Amino acid sequence: MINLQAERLGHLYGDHRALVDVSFEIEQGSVVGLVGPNGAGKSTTMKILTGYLVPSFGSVRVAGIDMVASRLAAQRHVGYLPESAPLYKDMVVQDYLAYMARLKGVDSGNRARRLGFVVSACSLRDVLTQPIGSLSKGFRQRVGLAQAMVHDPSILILDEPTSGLDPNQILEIRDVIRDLGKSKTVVLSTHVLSEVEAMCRRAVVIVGGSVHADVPVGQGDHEAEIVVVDAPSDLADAFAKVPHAVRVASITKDGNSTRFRVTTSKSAQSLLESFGRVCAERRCVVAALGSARTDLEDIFRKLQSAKSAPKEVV
Amino acid sequence: MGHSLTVATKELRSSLNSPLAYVFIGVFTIASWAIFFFVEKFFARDEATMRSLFTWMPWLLLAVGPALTMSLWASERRVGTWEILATSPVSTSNLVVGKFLAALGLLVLALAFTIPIATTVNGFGNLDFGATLGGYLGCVLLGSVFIAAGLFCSSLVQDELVALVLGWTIGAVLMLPGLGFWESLVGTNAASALRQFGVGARFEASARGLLELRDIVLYISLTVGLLSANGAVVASRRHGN
Repeated sequence: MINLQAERLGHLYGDHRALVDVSFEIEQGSVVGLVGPNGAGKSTTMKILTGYLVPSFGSVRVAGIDMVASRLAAQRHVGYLPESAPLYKDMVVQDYLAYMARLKGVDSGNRARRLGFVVSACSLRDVLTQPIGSLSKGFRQRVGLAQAMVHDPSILILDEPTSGLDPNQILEIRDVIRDLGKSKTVVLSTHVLSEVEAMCRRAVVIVGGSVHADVPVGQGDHEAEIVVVDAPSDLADAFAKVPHAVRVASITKDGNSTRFRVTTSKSAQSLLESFGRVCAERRCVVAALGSARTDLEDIFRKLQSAKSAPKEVV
Repeated sequence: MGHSLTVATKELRSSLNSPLAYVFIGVFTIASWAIFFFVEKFFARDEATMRSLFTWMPWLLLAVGPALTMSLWASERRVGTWEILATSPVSTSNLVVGKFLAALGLLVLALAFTIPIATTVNGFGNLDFGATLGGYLGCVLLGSVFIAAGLFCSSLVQDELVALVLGWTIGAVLMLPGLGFWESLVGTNAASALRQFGVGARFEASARGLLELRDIVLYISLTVGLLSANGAVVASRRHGN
C-alpha cells in the first residue's frame, strides 16, 4: 500500500531554487534513505513531507491526505525528528513526552499506553525524571525519536538520525529504526553510505534538487545489466517478462546504445542466458551483458563526475 | 481550544521554572509598591483609593508585557523547537492563543502581588471595591494589548532582547498619541482628538474604575489585531520566509 506520495515537488527560497523536481512513492513497511550531497535538497524535501514548508510546486499525500489542503489531518500520520533533535532543555523527559502526546492529540485513554511504549522502544526508562538539557547527545536523539513516535504515526521522517552519535549509540538507533520499518514507512536522510546500506531497502538519490536515482539497496547481485545497440521499443517489456525478472529498474540511453538494469528475484548471473535470448529473438546487438552491482557507492562515485555523465532515467 | 490550554500550561510552567519570570514579576511588584507609597505618597494623601497607582499602570504594563513574552516565539526558532511544533497537528491560532494565555497568566500573577496594597488601603479607610475591581480589569485588558504587541515582536526575530526592545517600541507608539506634549505642539483641540487614540490616556477612566465600553472595545480589538498579525507572521514561515 502506498503510504507516502511526493509529486513533482519544487521549492523556491526567494530566487534560489532549492528543489526542482522530486517525485517518489513509498509503501508502508519500508525504510527508505534520502541521500545526496549537502545542499542537494534532502532537508527541504523532508520539511515539505512533514508540512513544515508549503512547497512552491507539487504536492504531498500522506495516507491519501493532501498535506497542504488538510495539514492537521495529514500531520497526524507523520512523526518528525529534525536534524540534531531540538528539544526544550529545561523540561523533564516525562513531562516533555506527555506534552508532545497532548499536543499531537493522543487522547487521555491512550496516553499512558503510548508513553509507556515509546519509553521502552527508545530505552528512556532511566532518564524519565531528568531535565533534557542534562542528557547526552545519544539520549536526546532518543527523546527526539520518542516524541516523533508518540502519536503512533504511520510515517516517520528522520533527518540525519545518527549524526553526532558514538558508534554504540548509532547501533542502538539503527536497531530501533529497522524495527520501526517493519510496520511503518520510514524516510531517513543521511550522507553516510554505510548508514543507508545498514538500514534501508531503497535509496532515493537527490542531486541538485531533483531525483537523480531511485534504487533498491542491499540486494547484491540481484540485478542484471544489458547494453543493447539500437534497442527496439518493446525490449524493456520483454525483459520484464523473463521468468524471475522483477522489473526494469532503469533505462539509460547513451548515443545509440541503451543500458537496461533489470531487478531479478534470483541471482542475475543465472538469468543472463535468458536475457541474451530475448535480444537474439529480436535480432539486436548485445554490447554487454552481466550482473550489475547497484551499489550506492557506484552511484556516489558517478556523482563525482556527474556533470558529464548521462542522467539515469528511472 | 484544548490545544491552546495545553500550550499555555506548558509555557506557564516553563516560565515559572526560569528565574527571569520572577525577576520581572518582582520588579513589577516592587515598582508598584514604591510608586504607591513613596512617589505618590499614599500616607500623605487623605484618600482611600488606588487611583494614584492605576494612573501609573500603563507604563508599568508597557514595561512588563513585552518582557513576559520576549522569548515565547523567538527562542522556539533560535533553538529549533519550532520545527517540531510546526510539524505537530496543531493549528497556528491554537499556538498563538496558548502563548498569549501563558503570558496573561504571568501578568495576572504580577498584578496579584499588588493586592496587598488594596488591603492596606482598606485598613486605613473604606476602599471602593467596585472602582478597584474596575481598575484591575482595565489593567488586564491594557496588559493584554502590550502582551500581544510583545508576542508579535517575538515572532519577528530570533533574539529575545531584540524582541523586547521592539515590543517596547510598539507599545510606546500605542501610548504616543495620548502623551501630554502634543498640546504645546499641535494645540489643545488637536491634542484632545489625539488623546482618543492613546491607549495610556484612554486608561484614565479605567484608573478611576470606570471601564467604558469603547475603551474595552479598543483594548480588545488591538489585542486581537496584534495576535492576528502574530499568527500571520508564523503562518508565513511555512512558505519559507
